[in-house]
Amino acid sequence: MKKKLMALLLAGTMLLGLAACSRNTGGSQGAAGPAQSSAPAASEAPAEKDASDVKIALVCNGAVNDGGWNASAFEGLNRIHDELGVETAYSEKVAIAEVPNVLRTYARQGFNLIFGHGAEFGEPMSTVAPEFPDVQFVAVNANVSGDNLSGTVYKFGELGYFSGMAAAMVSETGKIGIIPPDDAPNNKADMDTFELGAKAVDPDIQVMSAFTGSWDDLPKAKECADSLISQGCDVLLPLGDAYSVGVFQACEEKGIHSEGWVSDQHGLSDTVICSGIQSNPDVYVATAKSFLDGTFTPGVGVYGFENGAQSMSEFYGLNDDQKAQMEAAIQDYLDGKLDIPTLY
Amino acid sequence: MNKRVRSVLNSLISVVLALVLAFVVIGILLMWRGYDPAATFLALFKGAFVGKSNLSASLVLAIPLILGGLGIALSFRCGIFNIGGEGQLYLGAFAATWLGVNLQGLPFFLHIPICLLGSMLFGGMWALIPGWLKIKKGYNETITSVLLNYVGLYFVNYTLASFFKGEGTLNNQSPKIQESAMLSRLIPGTELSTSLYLTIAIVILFWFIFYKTDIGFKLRAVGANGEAARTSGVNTGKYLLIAIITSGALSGLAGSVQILGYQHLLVQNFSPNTGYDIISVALMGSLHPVGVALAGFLLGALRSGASVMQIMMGVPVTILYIIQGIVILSVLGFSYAKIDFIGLVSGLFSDSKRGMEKEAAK
Repeated sequence: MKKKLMALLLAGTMLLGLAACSRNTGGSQGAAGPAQSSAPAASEAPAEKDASDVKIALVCNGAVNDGGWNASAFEGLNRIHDELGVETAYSEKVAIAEVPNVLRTYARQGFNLIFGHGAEFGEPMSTVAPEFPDVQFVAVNANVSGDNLSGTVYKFGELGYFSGMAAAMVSETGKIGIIPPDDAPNNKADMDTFELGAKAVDPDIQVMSAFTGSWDDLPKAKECADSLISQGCDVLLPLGDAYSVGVFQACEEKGIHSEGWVSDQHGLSDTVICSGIQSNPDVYVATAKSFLDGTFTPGVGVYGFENGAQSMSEFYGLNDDQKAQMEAAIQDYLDGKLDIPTLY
Repeated sequence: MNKRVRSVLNSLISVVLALVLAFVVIGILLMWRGYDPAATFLALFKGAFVGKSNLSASLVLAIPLILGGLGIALSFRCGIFNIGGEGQLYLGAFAATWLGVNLQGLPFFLHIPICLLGSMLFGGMWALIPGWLKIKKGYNETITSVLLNYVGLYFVNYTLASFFKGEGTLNNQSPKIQESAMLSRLIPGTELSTSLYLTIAIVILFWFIFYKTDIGFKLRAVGANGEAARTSGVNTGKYLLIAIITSGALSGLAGSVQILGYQHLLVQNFSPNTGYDIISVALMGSLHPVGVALAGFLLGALRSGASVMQIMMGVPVTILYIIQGIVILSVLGFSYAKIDFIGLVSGLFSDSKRGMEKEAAK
């Protein structure tokens, strides 16, 4: 009796397993069906890819709702989905150590173009890229390249310079502060030009810095801001990410000015006098477009003021004279009359 | 029915029921958040088991969990609670990477064993500290080993930001290990390496030593009743020390197989929380080597399936953590309830049988 029962149990388990297998294949066919039906007719160049055959993925180190760096990538991905009709997916809050496996998972699930949003993706991507020669990897903000590996870089240093100028114009104490996460080369470039720009306006100005050691540690950023304020700084620039909010809070409490970074952050806090803007969405859409129409070539693309990917926001906290001075400086830079030492 | 077969069957049934319960709870959670539970579970299942690459990704994640879980199981069975797996794992990985990078010109058949032994030595020595404090001075080993986790983890992170940082790298990571220290891949295009054979061999060896040898018997005796073992002439201190050092060595190995197997360099926080996950694996596997192997594979498959599921279904990563927590909790809950399912079911059957016999007698 008991033996029969066992046999029945075993048979039942095996049947369940079989059922799961057969359902599984059915499911995958079902999933492929509707995707193909939405395919637009492809023509033109032979290298052109059908939007329905392409799947684009985004991997982020932080949260995609951070209102800054990662949010801009997510906006780019959503624009790719809406404007180009491509299937997209994303992973957020992926620790550096887990990046290679997440990249591999995407590659195995048939994604053709995988974005890593940040310089820290350069190294894991150069490890993984050779394993999947048919997949194109793009590390945003990284100076990497390979057969199927590309980097996009901003001209780091441009935004720091103009942010420094604006900060020096507004400062009354003659002390301004900058709060980067660390002194990685890209941050260092903007830190250096922040000081240069400030000194161009006021040669006696003092520039101080405090590192948060993290891209999203909000309380730590607030502590950094508080300590800079207690040193006498009255304009603060967070060179960061989600943690900018912590800096803005400190500035609001002490009634001093701040500057935004990456996107126009005046909406987050009234203390923001202006923001340095990096338009990641434009970089994303441009890359995806060139990938679809077959003109994409692996390599490092440099994006800056000259191609509109970097710009300054409106100058909310400056008077008309100062605004004119800023705009003149930007024009001089575009005309090649002003030299800013940039990273690329 | 044999008593042992019966208990094995009982625990299998309890695992299956636990999984069913866990997935019902998760299904409700998913429905509440607006995801289709059937499609989500299908994505999870596919990501864990279907296809060469998915299955090997599951195994890759399972290998360190099994190795570390065996170590924890040994220490728990012996009555010394080593919670320091995390620190031992990081130090083991550090030792393996350091040897892998800095020993040059060795043939692979020397280089790989040296790296593996180095990691076991470092992990074991790190576990010796709480072990020695416990046996000689009576310090509570759970507290000392947990605190040493932080010391070990941050020490390794510090080395990667300072003297052991690779040249010209942006991220805080070590240089790449030499070719001769890399384990060869079992299936091309996946991360599964020969560490799978190593793991299987260690599971079998562990089982053999623990259940078939004199040392194993004494280890079990010390864990079952230390005082009784001591009065019958077993040097309990010695066996406790053996248990915790072996436990640390296996945790160290859990770290080094990841480096030598597929990561090939050490990154800060390279294996987050594995040192704590191995405790759940050991407990889910009822502290038995075969149970630990199965539990490690289950958790590895869950992890690997979950990452595919997140990609395919867009489920937020926090829900994945909740899912994993529910599965672990449910399996642990059922296994500790120790319900005799076979007894229950066969009891029902024999009652009705007796009833039928009575009918026939009339």
